[in-house]
Amino acid sequence: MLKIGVIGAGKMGLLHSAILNHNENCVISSISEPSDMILNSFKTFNSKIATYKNYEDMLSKEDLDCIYITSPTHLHSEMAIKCLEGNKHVFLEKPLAINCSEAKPVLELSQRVDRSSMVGYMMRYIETFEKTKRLIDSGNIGRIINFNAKMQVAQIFSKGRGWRSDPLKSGGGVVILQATHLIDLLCWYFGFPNKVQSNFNNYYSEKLEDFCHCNFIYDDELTGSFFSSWSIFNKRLLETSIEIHGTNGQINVNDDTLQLYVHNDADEFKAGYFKWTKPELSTGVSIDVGGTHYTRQDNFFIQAIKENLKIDHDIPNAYLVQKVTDAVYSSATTKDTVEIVN
Amino acid sequence: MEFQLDKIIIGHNQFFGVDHMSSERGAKRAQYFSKIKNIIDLLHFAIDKGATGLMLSTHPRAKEIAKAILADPALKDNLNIYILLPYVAKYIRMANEKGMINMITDALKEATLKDKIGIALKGGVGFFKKDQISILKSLIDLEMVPFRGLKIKTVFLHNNLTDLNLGLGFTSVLHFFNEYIPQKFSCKGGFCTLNFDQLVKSLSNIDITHPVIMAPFNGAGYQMNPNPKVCEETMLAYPTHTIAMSILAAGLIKPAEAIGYLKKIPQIKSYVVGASSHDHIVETYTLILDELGK
Repeated sequence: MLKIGVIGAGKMGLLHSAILNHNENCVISSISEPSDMILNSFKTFNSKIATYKNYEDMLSKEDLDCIYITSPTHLHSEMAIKCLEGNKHVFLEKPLAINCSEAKPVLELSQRVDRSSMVGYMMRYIETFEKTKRLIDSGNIGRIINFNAKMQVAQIFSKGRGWRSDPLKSGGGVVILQATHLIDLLCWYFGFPNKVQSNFNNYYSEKLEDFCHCNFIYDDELTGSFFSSWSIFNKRLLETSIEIHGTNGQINVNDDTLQLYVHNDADEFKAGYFKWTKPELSTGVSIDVGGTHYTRQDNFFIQAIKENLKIDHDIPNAYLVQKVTDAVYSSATTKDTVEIVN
Repeated sequence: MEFQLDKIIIGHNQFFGVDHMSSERGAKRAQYFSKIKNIIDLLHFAIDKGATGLMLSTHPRAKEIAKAILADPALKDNLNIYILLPYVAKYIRMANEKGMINMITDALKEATLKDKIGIALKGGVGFFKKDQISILKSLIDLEMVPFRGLKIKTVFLHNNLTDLNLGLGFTSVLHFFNEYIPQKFSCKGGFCTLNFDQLVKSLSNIDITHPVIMAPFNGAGYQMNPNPKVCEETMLAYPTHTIAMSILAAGLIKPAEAIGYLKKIPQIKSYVVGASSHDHIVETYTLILDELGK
């Protein structure tokens, strides 16, 4: 039975705790959180979970196997290093850090210690996006030559408050806080671009970008772009859609639906249109708290630790996503195409 | 008299642009229902076809709908209202925008300003930090403000919160909700959940028997965690007042097929059904009334 500690019991910390609490291979044994309001809730409503105001106290006093770090982004690096030095398996909420220079020591340490790591790029577990990856890899729509992606929500229409609106703590605006999910998904699907070219608009937030247009440039014939904003009226929920053009067909995917067009027969697909919806792709999970993809992600992490399985979105992979993200910021600032050096 | 749920409860998703199959279709419906008259006309039509209940979430527009119902005696007298609180999307957005702690503190400040709902607060927001139950009471009272005067049958805790508390092992919060709602609003407290099996068993462990529950039941097994078989077994083993939701699995299955499945679970006596169009209402409501007993 893996003993888990959670650092930062905000929205994501509570969500992961609720899921892991129902995984039969692990137990949430403690949380650390600076807010008294949250700590008192745990003390009042579930005294089996030990509470700490300071995460270092938790690490030194509790005998933990695995740590979930769900704190504000600027704290990730320091916390991840302490956990890895303590030989713990580490889950980090996305993004890895506020930028690559903060993320680098975490990457280097993670490569030296023999512990599992995962960064919370949960969109890979949304049924429609998961199946899209399998379809792309199957080669049924041929070689991918172009993609267009969009991620938008109605969220920010005035200057924000809290750590997310402070670039020193969050690392930036809509790109690092929201579009990083999309960047991860696009890199998972199509590989890491060699160059990016982006531009920002910050109409609502004083210091953070609210809108981002970005081109991904690859060495081969592949081109692609994405748009992301958190200031789109009437989008009550986050919506992500990707249009993928291959030499033998096309995929249109969003959170709810996946449509495939195959031009010439390929494997089990006769030339023509195919469609899958979320309900038909979904399967039951141990507990659903805010989306089955979170449960599948967390359950896979626990299984991967137990069985020593490979995790695709581990710290080294998330570091590469961070490099692309940094380049997106750099390009918007310099108004120039930025090369991503590996 | 024994507690009885309404057989057909009109769902609210279409009014607010929620469509789990297509956000584009959701947006179109939201546009149509942005006119309150279109909502009211649809409610009259649904009542005429046999609906006697209406689900209302604490969406920002719910106040406007509640006001229109109160002004229309035919709706006010013929509809039992089922409230779903809180409006989670709003709180998630607020938490993303200003952090979870600021979100709770701001909501509490708002609650204290509304002295007319009788929130006795001594010593400002700081007081709440020590008393978790007072926080919950204030947040519930605040959410309930728009619905005063309506004929409320049950107040449901939103599945995000039911399931979060269930997951965290905070079952005493569920116990509190179940006690507080009848005491304060003279109606039943209920739980919306995507984890029917675990919830019913957990409630039974804290001596809540015959709970009012709203959970997905459909032939596709969609959102029936951990799987349909376990949910069906739990339904047989534990007495509950259950409202089946997502009976069409977000549009995946046709009404006739959906009813065929529900027929096999006679313990369910109440169904929440969307009311996106007149045709949809006629088709599903007629099937439910004909096939699932009057």
